[in-house]
Amino acid sequence: MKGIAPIVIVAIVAALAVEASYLSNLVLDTQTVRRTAREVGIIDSINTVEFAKRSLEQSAAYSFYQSAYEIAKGGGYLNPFSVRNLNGFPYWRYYADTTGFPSNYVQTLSDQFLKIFKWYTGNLTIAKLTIPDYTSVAFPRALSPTSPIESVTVLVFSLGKLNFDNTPLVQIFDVADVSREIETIFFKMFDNAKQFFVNSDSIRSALIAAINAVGFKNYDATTQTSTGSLTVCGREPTAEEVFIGAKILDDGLGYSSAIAQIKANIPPQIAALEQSLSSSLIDYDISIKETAANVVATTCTVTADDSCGSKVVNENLGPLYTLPQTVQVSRPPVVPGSEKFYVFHSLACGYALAGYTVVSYVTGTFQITSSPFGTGGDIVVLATYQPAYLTKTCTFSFYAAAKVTVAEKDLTRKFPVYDGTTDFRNVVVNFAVLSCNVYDQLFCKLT
Amino acid sequence: MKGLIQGLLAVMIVGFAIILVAYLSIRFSIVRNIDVQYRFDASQATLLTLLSITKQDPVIEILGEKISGLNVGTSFLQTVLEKIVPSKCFSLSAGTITLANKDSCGPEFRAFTKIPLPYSPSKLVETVTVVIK
Repeated sequence: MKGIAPIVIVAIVAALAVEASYLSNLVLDTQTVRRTAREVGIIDSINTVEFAKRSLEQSAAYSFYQSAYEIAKGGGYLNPFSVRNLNGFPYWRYYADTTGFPSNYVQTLSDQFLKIFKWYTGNLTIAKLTIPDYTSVAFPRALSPTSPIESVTVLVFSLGKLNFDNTPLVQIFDVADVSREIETIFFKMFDNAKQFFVNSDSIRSALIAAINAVGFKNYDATTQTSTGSLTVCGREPTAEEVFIGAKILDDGLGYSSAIAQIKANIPPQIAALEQSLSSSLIDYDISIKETAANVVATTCTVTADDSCGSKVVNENLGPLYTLPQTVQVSRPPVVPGSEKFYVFHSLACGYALAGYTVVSYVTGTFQITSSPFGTGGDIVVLATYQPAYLTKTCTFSFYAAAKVTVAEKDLTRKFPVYDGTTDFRNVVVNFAVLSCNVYDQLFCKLT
Repeated sequence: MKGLIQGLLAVMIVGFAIILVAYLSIRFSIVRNIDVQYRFDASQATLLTLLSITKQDPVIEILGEKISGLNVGTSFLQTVLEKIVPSKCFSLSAGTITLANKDSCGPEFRAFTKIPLPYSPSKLVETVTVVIK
């Protein structure tokens, strides 16, 4: 019995040691369980923040798609009806006036982007996750030297942090700024349209080409004018005879015909312009809303000659001693109000137009105010009053005007956007142009 | 003396047994916890990976467009999920989209998040859920 005691004692000590070891492990394992639970919570929190960041990036893309689509559709304006417009197409050019171009369209895009992005962040918020306010956005462009398609990085900035508050386990603060790269030619489209329709005026070039293609007689393409003359005997040419003068210019086809020819030439020239502007990346759909053409006799000079015949009726009005002098004509004019008096001075070789100025004319009476021959002496004055021999020479100006809407379409890709329904749509920059070969609204006849 | 020793031995044996059971229980709990953590992490990682993949467009964008009723191909998602889920037992649901592979594979571990949809005044986000089995 005594021999068992040491063995029992050793066994007890060994058992105590084993129990102590187990107890110690038990305590450690309990801590491990708690730490494991904590780690699960931390990893879950990190993943939640990562999910939020992925969704914010995609929200930035959708916000850009939608705001870019809306701004392009309104020609750079959110509400194109708030500016001078043609059925909702803002006038980027109104003759020489190009103030309708939305030079701050990037700011408008930014404002609309932030508005839409805020709606997304409001919907992405979940329990414990705080998404801060976003205050600004930038769209730096990466211009590729090889690819015509640009890359735009949408950078959305916030003064706050993404915060996932999973206390007491963990609280995560992460950078809230969002960056998302998007392939788009949105900005390039505005650049192109500005270049072709604002900085230069492609429509005007097409209109000039339309006039030039008619090929009027005596036509100067640089000044857009022709010169023609009309002789009428004994009176002023009537308005109808001015048309006849135009007939002289365009080989007998007349004013109306000249206008018709110009108008007929405008659409093909604008179609040619549309064709030349369109490329594989951007398509220009130029829709002609209204055209006008006009031919105007801008300056006319009347000269007297004897080309109508040599029937000069002279009347000796007697010597002039003092000027001004009122001369009484013994015969009344044949056509009151339209008859011309020319005052001649008698020279050795015949009669010559002396340059007297007739200031006023009342039937049978006119007043001479000056004479190159002085006021003294025996000067014979003759009045020629029937017929008057007139040649009217006029300069004609040609006007071609067009009012067009331009829809510049991005053919490289379609964005998923909302416009009544959600669908894939091309971004289209819409605007209007009113132009004329010369920026003279009065004669271009389009407003 | 003999009785004392017998008593001590009895207490020690019972105590040992209790500690052993408690220890095994805790060990089992730890293993199970780690397994749960691993699978939960795996489900979240699967969803995170899926949403980070780009196939011409990011998958998160393709999913959003498909949920919105737009005509985009999503058949490749099945292949992608089969590659990133070792057990090949999964399901994905997002709005009207449902992808599933091998039902009744075992316990489910679920991960979900909200993803944005193409802009619409009526709905901007939808919940995407991935279940790993």
